[in-house]
Amino acid sequence: MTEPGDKQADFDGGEALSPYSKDYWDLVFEQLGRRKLFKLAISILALIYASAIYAPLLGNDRPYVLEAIDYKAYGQAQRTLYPVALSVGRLVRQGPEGYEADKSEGAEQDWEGALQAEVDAAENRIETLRSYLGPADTELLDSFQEKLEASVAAAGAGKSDEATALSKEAKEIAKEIRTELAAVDPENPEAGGHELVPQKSYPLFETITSSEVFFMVLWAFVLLWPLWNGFWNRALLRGDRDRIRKARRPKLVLVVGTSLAASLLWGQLVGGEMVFEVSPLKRGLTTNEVVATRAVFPPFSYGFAETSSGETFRAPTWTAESEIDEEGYYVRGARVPEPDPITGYKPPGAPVEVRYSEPPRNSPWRHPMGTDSVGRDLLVRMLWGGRVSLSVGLVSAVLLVFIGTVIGALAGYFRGWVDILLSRLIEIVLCFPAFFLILMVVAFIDPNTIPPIIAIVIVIACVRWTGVARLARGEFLRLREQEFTLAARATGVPALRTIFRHVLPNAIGPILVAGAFSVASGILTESALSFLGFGVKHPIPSWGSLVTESRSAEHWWIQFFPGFAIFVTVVCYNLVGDAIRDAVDPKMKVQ
Amino acid sequence: MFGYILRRLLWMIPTMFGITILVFTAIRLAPGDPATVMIGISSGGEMKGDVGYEERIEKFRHENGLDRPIWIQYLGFLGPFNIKPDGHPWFGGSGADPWGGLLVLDLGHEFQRKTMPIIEELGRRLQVTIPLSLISTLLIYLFALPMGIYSAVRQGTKLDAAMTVILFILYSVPTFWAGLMLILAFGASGLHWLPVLGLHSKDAADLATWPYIWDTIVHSILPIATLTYGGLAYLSRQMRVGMIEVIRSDYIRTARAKGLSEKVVVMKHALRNSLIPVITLFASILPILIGGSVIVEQVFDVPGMGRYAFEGLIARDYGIIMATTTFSAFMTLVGILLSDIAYAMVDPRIKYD
Repeated sequence: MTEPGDKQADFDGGEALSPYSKDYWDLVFEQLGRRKLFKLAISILALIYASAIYAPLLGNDRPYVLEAIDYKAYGQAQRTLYPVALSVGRLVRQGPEGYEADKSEGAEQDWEGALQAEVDAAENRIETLRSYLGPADTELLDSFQEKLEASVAAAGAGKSDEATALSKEAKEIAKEIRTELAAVDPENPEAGGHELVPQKSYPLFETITSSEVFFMVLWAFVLLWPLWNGFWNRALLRGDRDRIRKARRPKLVLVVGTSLAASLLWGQLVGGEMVFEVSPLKRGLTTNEVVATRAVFPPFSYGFAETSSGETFRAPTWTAESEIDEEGYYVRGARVPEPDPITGYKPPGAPVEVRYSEPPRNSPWRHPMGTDSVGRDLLVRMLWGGRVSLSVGLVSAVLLVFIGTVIGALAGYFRGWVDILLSRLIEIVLCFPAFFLILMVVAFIDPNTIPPIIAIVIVIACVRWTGVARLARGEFLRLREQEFTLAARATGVPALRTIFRHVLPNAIGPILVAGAFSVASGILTESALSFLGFGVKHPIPSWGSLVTESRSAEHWWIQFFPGFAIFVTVVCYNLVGDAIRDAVDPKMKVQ
Repeated sequence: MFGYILRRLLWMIPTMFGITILVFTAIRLAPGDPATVMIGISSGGEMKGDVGYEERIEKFRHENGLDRPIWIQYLGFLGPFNIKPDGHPWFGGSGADPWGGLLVLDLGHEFQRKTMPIIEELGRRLQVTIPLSLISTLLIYLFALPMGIYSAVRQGTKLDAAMTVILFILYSVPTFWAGLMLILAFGASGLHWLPVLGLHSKDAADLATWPYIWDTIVHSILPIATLTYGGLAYLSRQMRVGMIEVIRSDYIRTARAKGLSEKVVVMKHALRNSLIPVITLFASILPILIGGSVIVEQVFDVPGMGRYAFEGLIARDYGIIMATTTFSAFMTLVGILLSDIAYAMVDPRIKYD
């Protein structure tokens, strides 16, 4: 239990370096550090979690950066200014009374609101036009906006005739805008028109929410932990064990604090929102409605719900059977279409649509794990699906460890009738076949009132806490008789404080082990439930629900890859649990 | 000993009581109405707004006693009085069929097939599930114990290391995935060695006795393998750990020191003590098998109890759900009791009074 420094201390009078006695966690980490398998498992887990946390950055149908001209949006804005002016005109003519009398039932807006909505729409469109037009040619837009605003102001002041006249003028200008400000047709530049300026945007980052940013920053710290932790310990603390030990809490605060700050900042600056839409941007880029001068896409540029009608159940593209010719026919394997022997009729093929940013038709990287029943890329769906599966495992484990620890602690610490009552409860819950009970509750929960995933987490926690409770009870029964607990009680420390500040830290080892194993079993349970069809709602994927896409043995990739991901994760968690169990064992070897 | 068993059996009554109350209230309070599901099926998928839709739902509720307060319904489930319209006169019934409920082993009829008593169908399903579970339990103990012992005795050898790794991996494989991968490997798409769906071939009814038995055996290999591997891995790991702990103890050193042969030391002295924790695991393997059977029967299309429960859940058939849950809970209790009794038999230090 001594450090090499000790000998040196003896040499020069024993003052330079004080002997360092390792505390419990030093010993635990030392034990863990000796296990190669543990290190391997924890690194794989870190990467699996990284793939889930960074899924939007890895597999997405939106580019990181886009410098493009959206001809479709431009044309739409240009054409729809006229209808806006038209309805403003109608509104100001009607006045508030006429609007109230005329408005359809159930319409919630009042007259002012309706007018404001039209003004906002106009502003929006003018904004779009201005941004693409650049510095030139904004006279028409200016005067349109002027007239429209003046008309609304006049209507608000009750001068209805003046307002109507102004709105008419606005209409005329809108017509002019339609003809005068036409954009250059990218396919036919000779026809003339306005040269548009590409706009830079960050479509992917606009969909990242601030909670996602929190986990992304947090996980960046975790992945780079060996680097910054090593630097901190060696360079800043000069390897002084006592200072390193004291630095544990500041490190934790720093990591969580930075992540939290980043997330708050993101919420303020970007305020991204998770949007669900079927790749309008990519479609626009493919059909040349949007012309990009620069577009940087993620490595796998498919949305998790992006379908492809020509590629249903396509085998992984690196396999031979997956090759498709130009007309959309398979070249090899069982799916090569046979022409009818008599008529010679061959069913029409569905050509593969290679969209913007996607790898070519037969590139091995096109769908490395194949596609599902509607041609969605399985790899991207697995990346996104990991978010559900992994978080269900983790959250349910945290919850059940909490419930189990509290109940076990109460039973073990207070004994007597509390213990009898709680032990009975544990026994009754133990008598249920756990999986069956979870299945029953989840099957009966209405997905519209409680999202199935939250229901699954809660139910797993409510059914599986018994193991942890029994463990905690045993630990507390043992620890409550020890001197330090007696001392705490004798000095008048309240019971709850004794439990949580004195006894619990000494019982935390075995509870942690049970926690690691319950993450694994939580993931298994969620996947089994999803497999039976009681999981996430379509089209959100989870590893278990991906497997159910096809039960046919022909579609082996659908059954193999998601299940394999579950399997690897569970193996790693079990390895980690095993290693922690050995490390926190009080009988562990100390040299 | 006898008194102990009797007392334990009596203890099971209040526990079963608690379990049935819990499940009963849980499924009644949960959303989802069997009436709408059933009417939807019987009218061929017609939706709300049809003529007589409300009346049919009311009629269905009345026929099945679902319009009663929940505690009356529970009494109806428990028995011995039948509370449905044809039930005991005390509960406003016609008296045609006065008795019913769990106490007289009547679990009611299915909602969908109105003439099918649930207990009869459950019995038929159990004829499939119980043999599968029993064989699987037997195989688990038959393989896990020798593997664990061997691994412990040869601790540190390459074979031990390999076995530990393999068992560790098996322990982590999701059940449904194992089933699917077995189907891929041994079914028509892979080696084509074994049939993968159902328990019999289509023409099995025409086969003679021996071919019929052979057909069943061939069909049940993969389901049994899927049921078995997890428990096997778990149990043999436990066996190995327990055995290693015992082998290190003082009395084993004494036994060796007095010159007993290694075989006697291991098989007589060490085995008996290390068996104790493994036997108690019987109680926890049984519910795992029951829960696992839902998935395994779904994967392999086996018409057993797990599938019955699943079908009941889909159809919101309260009767089927109550029946299967009660039965599984009962089996779990029996498993706990059996393992406690076995505990007492192998460990003479334990006295029950």
